[in-house]
Amino acid sequence: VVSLPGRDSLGDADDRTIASRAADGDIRAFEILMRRYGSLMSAYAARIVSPSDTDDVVQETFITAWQDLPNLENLASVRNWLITIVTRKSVDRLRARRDQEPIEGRDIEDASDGPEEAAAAASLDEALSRVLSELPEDQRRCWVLREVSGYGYQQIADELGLPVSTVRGLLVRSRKTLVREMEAWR
Amino acid sequence: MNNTPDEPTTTPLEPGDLDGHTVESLSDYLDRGREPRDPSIESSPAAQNALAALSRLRAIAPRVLAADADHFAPENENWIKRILDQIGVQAHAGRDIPIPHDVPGAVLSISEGAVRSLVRDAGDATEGLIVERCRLDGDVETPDTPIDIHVVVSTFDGLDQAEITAEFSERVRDVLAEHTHLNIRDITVRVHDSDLSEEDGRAR
Repeated sequence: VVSLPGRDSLGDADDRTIASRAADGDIRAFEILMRRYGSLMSAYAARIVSPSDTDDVVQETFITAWQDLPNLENLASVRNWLITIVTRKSVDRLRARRDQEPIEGRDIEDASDGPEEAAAAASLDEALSRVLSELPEDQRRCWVLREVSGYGYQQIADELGLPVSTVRGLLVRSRKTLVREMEAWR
Repeated sequence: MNNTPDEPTTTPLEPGDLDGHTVESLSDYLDRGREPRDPSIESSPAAQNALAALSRLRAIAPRVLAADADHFAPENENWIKRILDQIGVQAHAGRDIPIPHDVPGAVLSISEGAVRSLVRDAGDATEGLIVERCRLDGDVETPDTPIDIHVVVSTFDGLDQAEITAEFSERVRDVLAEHTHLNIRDITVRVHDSDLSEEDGRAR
């Protein structure tokens, strides 16, 4: 018997193969998808919602993914599709929290430009990741929604319940901080 | 050496002067794809420098989110089990396929999802092939209706695809005959872009 890559384990198969099986109802394949992208989903959620909500958002993301996977046309793009879902779920969670909490509890006029230095990081990406994590949360959310998820200013303003002018200001501050760190690596 | 005392530390977005432009207006300009062309921006070294930095940052943004992902792994160790418990009750069962029997008053059936699972298992039992998707074409809810099975598979490189798919088709036919009463007509196996039916396999 010839030993073949992936012969004994689906875990080595590419995204399209795994996603196709999961779309066809194979829970084992879906579990592989969760192991493959659970941390990434968590990383996205953690940059938008509060730490105590992150696990719940990841859970909601995968449950929705399981339900909608049969309708996904380009199964090879499952990674980006999951990112779209986790962003949506995160924003929904923020909105729900905002509806629960009194508005005066929120600090939207955070004048901080963020931390001066990131902890020792092994790469530029990692250094920026840490700086991002340490940004004031409204700055971080705006930056992620704009630069990673491609939301427009008005859309971000609506989702976060902030004036557009505030969103613009928060983006400028987050960009300055991140560029400062990025340049330090050049 | 590299000692240049008193050199001010500036970054592209905070050079003190962006020739009258702001980070905000430059970001907007970048968002518009640098159209329409603004000579006052394009001719300003400081603005160009800032634009370049903003572009670089945007280009690496997705990587930044993924860079530290392991650090963000879900805290609850049982998170996968929690999700599996939830979705297990809503598995994609599909149509009910009746199983003829002689037991008065009983209704026996096998779900379409269970049939797809049998097809996947047949693939797992076939060397060098993984079943991706499986579709049952025909009125499975009416006994004896001819049913066509369409299966999409991946095969491993360097193997005889026709031979593998023929072996797989035969296995699918056997396993469905054993576990269902479906009247299977054609079994079509598609490997990526090339179609291979049982006939193709036998012809070799």
